[in-house]
Amino acid sequence: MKRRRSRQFAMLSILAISLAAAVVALRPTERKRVHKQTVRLAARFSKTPGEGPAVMAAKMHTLGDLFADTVVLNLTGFAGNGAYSQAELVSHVSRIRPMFHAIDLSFVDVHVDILGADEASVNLTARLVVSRQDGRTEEDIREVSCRLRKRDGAWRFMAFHEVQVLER
Amino acid sequence: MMPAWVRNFFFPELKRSFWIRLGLVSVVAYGVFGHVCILTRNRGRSMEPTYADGAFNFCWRPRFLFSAPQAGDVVIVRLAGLRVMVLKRVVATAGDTVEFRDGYLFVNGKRQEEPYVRHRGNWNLPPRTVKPGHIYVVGDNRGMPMAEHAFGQTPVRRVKGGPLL
Repeated sequence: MKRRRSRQFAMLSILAISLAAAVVALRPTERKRVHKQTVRLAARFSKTPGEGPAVMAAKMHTLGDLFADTVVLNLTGFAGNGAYSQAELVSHVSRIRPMFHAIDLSFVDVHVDILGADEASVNLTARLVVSRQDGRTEEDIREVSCRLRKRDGAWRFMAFHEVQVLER
Repeated sequence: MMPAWVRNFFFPELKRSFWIRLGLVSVVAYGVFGHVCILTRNRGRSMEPTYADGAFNFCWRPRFLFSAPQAGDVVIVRLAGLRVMVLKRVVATAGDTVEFRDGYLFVNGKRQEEPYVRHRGNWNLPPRTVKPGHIYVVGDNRGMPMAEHAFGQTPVRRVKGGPLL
């Protein structure tokens, strides 16, 4: 009887610890919210082969929600560096996307730092694979540092700076 | 009829000793293959012919634990983390002057013999000095256009090891 009770107690303890661990692991934190914005950015920027105009319009409509009022781009060898308004940036992306058959943007090694109540920085490795309409495929991998600001309860990208790993 | 050792190997008795053994093997495998000897796959042709595109290898993290990378060493340089890294060869260290003339590498004004380079393009790069705490890394494939080849100086602290094979 006593042995059965202690076994039940052990089972309940394991269950309680597992539940507590799950709650801690799954609870939304600012770090996770910022990380999720990087996932959304990659998904909305990417283009699947044969993507229809409705899907593209929906993606571009929601892409703007990820950016702050002004976004600064500073990437090596990129002709479009500078400061853009949210609408300008979405417009540029909308014009670039049809030039490619497929675009695959992914982020790995994403490190999030919460700098304050409404500011965060993200350091990540960005991998961009584009398939041109003529069938050529190009790949570019860069380390990028992003700055985000929280506005209206949502984290928004306000700057993208490339980290120079190899300096000629 | 299956021999006993085969049966024990593939269908072990789920005793406490089995779970302890399984746990230990998992922890050791995670430690070794996750942090010490990381499985990698080469992507890109910048290190050909030494390392082929698509080949598998391991990043041996302790490679430069007790010694700094020297000219001729192949190093693995991290980007934001360890999931995507860059495989290059060190051609010069801090204080050296690096230059390319007609595809040939010159370090401190002397032309370097590079037996690992099979194809040479017409690379030209004015002399530059490697900063303190940095190394200068270049891929072995000099046959590709210089504009498409990622090379240059990088902090030594970014070196995360060397290829095992």
